[in-house]
Amino acid sequence: MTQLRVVIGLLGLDQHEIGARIVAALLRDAGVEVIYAGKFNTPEALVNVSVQEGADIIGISAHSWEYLAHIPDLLARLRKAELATPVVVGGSVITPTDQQTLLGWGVADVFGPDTDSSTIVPRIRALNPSSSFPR
Amino acid sequence: MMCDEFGANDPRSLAVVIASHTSGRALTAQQPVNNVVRGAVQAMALVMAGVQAIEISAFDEAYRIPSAEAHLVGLRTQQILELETDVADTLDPLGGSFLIERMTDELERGIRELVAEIENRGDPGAQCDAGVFSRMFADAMIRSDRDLSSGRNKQVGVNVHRVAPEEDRLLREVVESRDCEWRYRIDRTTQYKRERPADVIDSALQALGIAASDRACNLMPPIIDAMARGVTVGEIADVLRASYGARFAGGPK
Repeated sequence: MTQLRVVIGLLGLDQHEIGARIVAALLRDAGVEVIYAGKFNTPEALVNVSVQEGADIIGISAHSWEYLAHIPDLLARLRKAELATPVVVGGSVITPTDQQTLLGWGVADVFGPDTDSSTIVPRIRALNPSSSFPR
Repeated sequence: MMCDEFGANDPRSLAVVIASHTSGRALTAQQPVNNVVRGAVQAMALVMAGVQAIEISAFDEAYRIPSAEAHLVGLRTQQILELETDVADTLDPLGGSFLIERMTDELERGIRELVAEIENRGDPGAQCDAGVFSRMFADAMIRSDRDLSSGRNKQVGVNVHRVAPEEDRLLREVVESRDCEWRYRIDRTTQYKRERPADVIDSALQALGIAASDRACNLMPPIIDAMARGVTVGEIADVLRASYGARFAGGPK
């Protein structure tokens, strides 16, 4: 089995990095290869990183509402590049309503403030890259 | 420390002035009304500790840029402490309690040990560049998350005394409402940029670019000049990023 490769990053001016770091550490401890893109990414930059690194999954940490403007852009860029890389979004600001919106946009999984952090790794592993093509 | 280590003479330099903000990390997305209570308890502790300035984190901070309503609750909490209790009238309401003093001593010892450890490692600036401090901070956060997931630390509404999401309605409307301020800002900035004389802006940015390419040059005058001509902070940052690279933008290198 090849090692799962996950790009983790923040979009726009959101600088609340701790959640991303915690999730990166959780994934690393579970044997997942994390490509940590850090903060202040544009959707374009994150798509480029995931292409260059051959990422299986893109993980976005969102602790500012900006993500609502950036995620559709990111998904559109993936579609345009004909990439089926599943996108997951996690963060404290994600309300139950946002969760539904994100899933409707084609985000593969959403981790809100209620998510038990021990479920994150199995849920990310369960994503099948080929079945989660963003609509 | 100020006297012995830094040779301070002016008594004002020896005075401890503490401005404090209650912890945003203690606030939860679950049962947001509990955050009002957390703010009050923490603010009370700050008053008893004798700090000079307090700001209470807004109860909706877990979800949003704080609303005016939540800020007002924070302010009212302080006013209640000030006017409806006498706790602020006494210099040291805890009166040298053995327990508090002992905990303070322990904290002080811990701080001194850590400072010594950092100083032993050499130049703090170099350590900062190497990401030592941000790693220290992130490690503490990871530890605290693990203590929470394992149940070692308890947080009401998060890992104990939870309620079903559909029952968690109190103050929900406030914490989840959004004013989409950024859309208005984008429109306003776009409009503003359209109305400026392009050549004036271009020449100011160009001058800043030339100054930034000279590492010895003081950037303040060209920045002030650019601002006076109507250049935006974003445009200035673009020029500086182009010149210096965005090294501040990553995590630790």
